[in-house]
Amino acid sequence: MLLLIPMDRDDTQEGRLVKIYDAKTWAVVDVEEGKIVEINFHENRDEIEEWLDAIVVENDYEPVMEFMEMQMMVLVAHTQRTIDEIVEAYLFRELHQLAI
Amino acid sequence: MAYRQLLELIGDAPGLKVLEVTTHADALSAALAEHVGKCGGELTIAAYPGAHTPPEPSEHLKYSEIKHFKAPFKAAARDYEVIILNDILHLHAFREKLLKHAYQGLENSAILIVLQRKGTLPRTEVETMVEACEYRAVNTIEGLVEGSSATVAKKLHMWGNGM
Repeated sequence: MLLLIPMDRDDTQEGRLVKIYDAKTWAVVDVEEGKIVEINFHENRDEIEEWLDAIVVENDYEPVMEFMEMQMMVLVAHTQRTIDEIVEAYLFRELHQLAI
Repeated sequence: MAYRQLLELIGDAPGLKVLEVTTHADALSAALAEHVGKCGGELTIAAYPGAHTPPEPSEHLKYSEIKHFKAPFKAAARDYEVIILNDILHLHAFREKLLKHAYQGLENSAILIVLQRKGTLPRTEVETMVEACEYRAVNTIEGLVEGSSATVAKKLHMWGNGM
């Protein structure tokens, strides 16, 4: 499962989830069998050469149509901000579906 | 008329929406654009890396480029009456995902057409892949497009995974 996360910096520990338009970098987090296998950062989203499964956003009002057109799952992390928090919440199914 | 049989296959319903996912936008794309324009519909071309000669811009045409063979094309759920995968299946890194993605982009009872130049992928392999992705009424037609095999299949509501 490849999660796409808009982040404020390319730091796996200190980086925080931000709004899509505020993203300084994009984290691609590969989660397999309940563990983070790999994290890669990309300054430019167009550089990402992967088939992404889901995007994590910080609220229900983010511009996610583009991602939905690529049939990516949109997950909302209302309170989680770091990659560890987000992945933990994802594994425990605590991330919300987008409220439309 | 060039591609007459193919155009007959996709029909001429008013407001017809067709997506061509291709590695070579060419005369076929132009024929599709003209046909869809006459129906007051819309042709979307998703151009993967390759040599493209896109049709003249028009209000009935959308054109987008996809930079590599690992990425999906854009298609909202149940948006298209016809999706044509034109010489992309043998090049894409995620064939199964691509077919499932197309499935979700099709309306119920809509048509998938996989065009493959002869020698790129065995016909049986294409048919097996398409059937495995829940399409129904899979059938390969030779001669629909010169030099290519056309595997045609339908998304049938409640016969596959339903979405």
